[in-house]
Amino acid sequence: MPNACPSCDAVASPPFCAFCGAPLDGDGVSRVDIPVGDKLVAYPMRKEPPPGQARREGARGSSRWSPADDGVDVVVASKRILYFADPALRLREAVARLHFTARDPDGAAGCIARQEVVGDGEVELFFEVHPGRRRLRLGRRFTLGTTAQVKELVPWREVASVPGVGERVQAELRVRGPVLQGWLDGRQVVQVVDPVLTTGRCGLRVSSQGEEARVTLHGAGVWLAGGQA
Amino acid sequence: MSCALSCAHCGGPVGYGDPTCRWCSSPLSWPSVPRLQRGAERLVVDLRHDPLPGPVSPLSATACEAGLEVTVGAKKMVSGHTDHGLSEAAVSLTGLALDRCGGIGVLARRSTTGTVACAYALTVRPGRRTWTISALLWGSQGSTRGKTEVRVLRAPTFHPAVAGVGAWNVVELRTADHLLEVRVNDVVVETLVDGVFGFGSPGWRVTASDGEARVQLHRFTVHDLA
Repeated sequence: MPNACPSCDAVASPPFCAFCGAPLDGDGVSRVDIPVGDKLVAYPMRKEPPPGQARREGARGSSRWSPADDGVDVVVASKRILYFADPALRLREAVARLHFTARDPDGAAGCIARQEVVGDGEVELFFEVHPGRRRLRLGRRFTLGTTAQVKELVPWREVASVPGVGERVQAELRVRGPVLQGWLDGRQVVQVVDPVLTTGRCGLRVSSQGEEARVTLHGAGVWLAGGQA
Repeated sequence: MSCALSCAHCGGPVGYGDPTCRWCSSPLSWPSVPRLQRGAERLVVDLRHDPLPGPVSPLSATACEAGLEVTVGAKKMVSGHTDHGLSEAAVSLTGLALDRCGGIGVLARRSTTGTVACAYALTVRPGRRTWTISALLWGSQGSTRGKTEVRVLRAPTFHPAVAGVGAWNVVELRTADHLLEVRVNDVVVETLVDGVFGFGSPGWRVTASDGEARVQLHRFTVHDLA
């Protein structure tokens, strides 16, 4: 039966919205299985630099990163975000994974996917975990000049299973078609449909949600979303 | 209504060039770039009696026999868009430049994140008989207002299908997944593959290059793809 698509509000019939491509069942957006497929690249940060970097130490603005025993320590300035993405790999259907530990209550980190450059601007999808408040969110971000605009597709949500400060976190952003999923320590915690961005780079982001914050990045990687050749 | 690029096995929308269907894993093959066919009519705006959809800023326009005559200041652009987004569409604008500075075109997949809008923009410039297509990000309010970032997909390029000053041009962009099919006066000028924006509203645009431009607009249409 035709109904309003939960993603774009168009009148749509299962199994797919003809306007935005959302997979539908009688109750709304279908539950989509996005298994982890072949590994494309890994960034073991005990030995290697973060994605897109030549060295394990560096600085951008007043934020900086340096080697640590168990990875790379990132000190991100108050209310700032650092991005690390591999410019040599663009893809559509992906699993971006990050292992990290927040050392301060204001430190947050997560994965990005479908990051594209438009002139000096950028667009991307992100899944962010904030251990200091045991919360997470999933969104789309456009950067124009020095201004960033965020659309929270899943606004900050407190989730009891988010590890706390000092505990190791495995965050994953899985994207297949317009379906975006946030995974935490191997369990899916959010799913949303957003058809606006379709391909691009994968990577990670580290942010301060208040004061200057330290986050240790242990490792990251990019996998094909399962089912692809 | 089905999708222009769909899996023969499960009917799900697929990505152009993908080796397998993302929904059912059936193998896909792409022996050639598909031609995108117009489907059902979604919106037809005859500017002799219908208003132009949603100009973003006040429009300097007067009624004329053909429809609407729009004046745009040097190096300025005016645009508008419909309310509802879609991924696959054929968007066309019929217009005529009255001087060498005018350009007419369409927007596809316009969407916003906060105060930043994005879209594909196809424009023809009859003064030089060229066409150009770009991915745009631009600010509409507050700290982003007036800022624009451009990824030029095809710099202004001559094509004989583009009619000159004083002649009518039908500018059309058909989008399906990463395929962007550019048509001018029903001639396929080029099919590009670009994957930055996947969904949004169709729209129209009128541009002026180095001097004030006067352009007549006759018709704006949006069709589904077959």
